[in-house]
Amino acid sequence: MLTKSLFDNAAFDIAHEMDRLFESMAAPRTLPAFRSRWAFPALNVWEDDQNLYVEGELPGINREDLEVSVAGDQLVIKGQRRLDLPEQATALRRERLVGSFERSISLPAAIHAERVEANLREGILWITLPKTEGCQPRRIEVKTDRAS
Amino acid sequence: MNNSTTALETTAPQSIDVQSDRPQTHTWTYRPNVDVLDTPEAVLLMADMPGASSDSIDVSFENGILTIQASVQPRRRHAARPVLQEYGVGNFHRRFEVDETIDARNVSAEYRDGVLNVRLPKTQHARRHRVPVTG
Repeated sequence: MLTKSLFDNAAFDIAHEMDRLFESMAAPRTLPAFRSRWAFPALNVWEDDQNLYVEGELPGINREDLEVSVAGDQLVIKGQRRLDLPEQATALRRERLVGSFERSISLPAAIHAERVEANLREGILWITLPKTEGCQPRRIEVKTDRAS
Repeated sequence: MNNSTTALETTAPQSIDVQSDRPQTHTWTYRPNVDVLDTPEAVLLMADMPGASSDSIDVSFENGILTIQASVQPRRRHAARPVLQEYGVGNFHRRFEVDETIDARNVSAEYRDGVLNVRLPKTQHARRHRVPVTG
C-alpha cells in the first residue's frame, strides 16, 4: 500500500487534516500555535518601574513593511506580510496569515514617545517604552506629626 | 513496522520528544502554522517559527516522515510584571508524512526572519513534465 502523499489535497478541509495529524503524530502536549485572526499580532506586555515592554511575533515580515507608532496613549502596530509565490507554484496548504494588519492598544502608563525603541529580530518585535517621570513610582516620604 | 494506515500511531512513541530532550522546566510545545507550495521541481514548506535560531532548529527526514522542531528560549522579563499575555512562548514541533516521490537526500532548509523554509526536491521521474500536444 502506498504511503499517503505529503499533502493530501483534501487538506483544504483544514479542521479534518489537523485532527488527523494531532491524533497520530503530535507529541502529547502539542498545541496549535496561537494565532488570533481578529487581533494580529498577538501581544505580550510587561512593565517595571521604568518602562513598558511590548512583544509580538511577526515572522516573515520585512522591516519596511512594518510601522510602529505612538500617539497619545495608543501604540499602533501596522503593516503587511507579503508571501511571494514562485513561478508555477500552487498552494497545497495555507495556514499563515497574509495581507495587511493594524492593531492599536491603549498603554497603561504615560510614556516618552520620542524615546520608544522597537527592534525586529528572528520574527520577534520588541518595543521598549520609557515611562514619563510622573508615571514612575515616586516614594512619598511619610512625615510624622509629633505631639507637642 | 506494518504498512497499514495505523502505522502512524506506532511511529509516534519512537519520535524525539522535544520536552525530554533537554533539561528544562516544563514548556509547552506549539505546532507552527505552515504554507506548502507545489512547484514542478520541488515541494516548498514555510513554517512560522519566530524566536528560534538556526542552531536550535532540527529538520529531519526518516522513514517517509519529515519532522521540524525547534527549541525556543523563554522570553519572559523576570523583573517585570505581566500586563497582558496573549500568547505563550515554547518549542515548536510538527511532523508530516511524505510520499516516496521526494528525493530525501537533497532536502534543504533555511531559517530567516523567524520562518523556516524547507525545500523538498522531487525525484526525477516525479517532476512535472510538460507534454507537448501535437495535431
